[in-house]
Amino acid sequence: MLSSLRINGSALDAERQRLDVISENIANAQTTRTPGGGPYRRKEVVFEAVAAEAAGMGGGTGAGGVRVAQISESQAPLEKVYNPGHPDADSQGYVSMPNVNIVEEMVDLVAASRAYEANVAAVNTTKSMISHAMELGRG
Amino acid sequence: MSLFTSRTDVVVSGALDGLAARHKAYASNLANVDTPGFQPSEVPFEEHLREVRDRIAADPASAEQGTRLDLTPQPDPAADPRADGNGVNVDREVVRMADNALTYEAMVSAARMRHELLKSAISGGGK
Repeated sequence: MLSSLRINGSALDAERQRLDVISENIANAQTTRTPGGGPYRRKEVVFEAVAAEAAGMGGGTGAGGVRVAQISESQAPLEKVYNPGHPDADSQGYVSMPNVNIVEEMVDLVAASRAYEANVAAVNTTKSMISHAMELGRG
Repeated sequence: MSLFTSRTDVVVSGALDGLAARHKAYASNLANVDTPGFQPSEVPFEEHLREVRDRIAADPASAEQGTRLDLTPQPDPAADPRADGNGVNVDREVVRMADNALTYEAMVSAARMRHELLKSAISGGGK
């Protein structure tokens, strides 16, 4: 039962990382210069299920929690915008802009928030069950 | 048949184990709502528990053996995969987890009432 807390806790952590990445994408939607050179590229999180035994959650098979396997840069093509006055324009007057679609990011944000809330509800449910179970020994 | 392994005790404790294992499966489903390709699991134990109850009714001495329930999570047959292959329906999981929790709490109350009964019998009815 206590392992359920860790399972949903892992999801809260993973969804929060996803929210951080989405925030970074939105903040850098217009960034044409990065420390590594070139325009900002959209970042994505890859989720992976954690096997229950591997995570040390003890007993039974099946999935345990979730973890962020990697944060990768999207290889989708950058958007070329005609803006010859821009300091980062190329010889043809085109600026390569980040491949961030704000609408997509907002949809991901809503999905991540909803998953986060669902896992918070799960943690509260587990807490309620455990505290009821403890009443068995009382009195 | 001993004082503490009547048919009721075995069935109630089996139900608590089953419901707790089911809760863990639902927790895992919710944690993986965004994991690509993930399929939700369920722990169906009622059928086996019914058989245990009938077994003990037929042979009361077998209550000593407990339930020996198989609580390994099974793939959920009602899963409906989305485009990314993930079969978890977050609303359904939250609702059935709440439902399961209520059943668990009811079972705990039932176990508690049984203990009260035993205590009352042991103390001879006086407080």
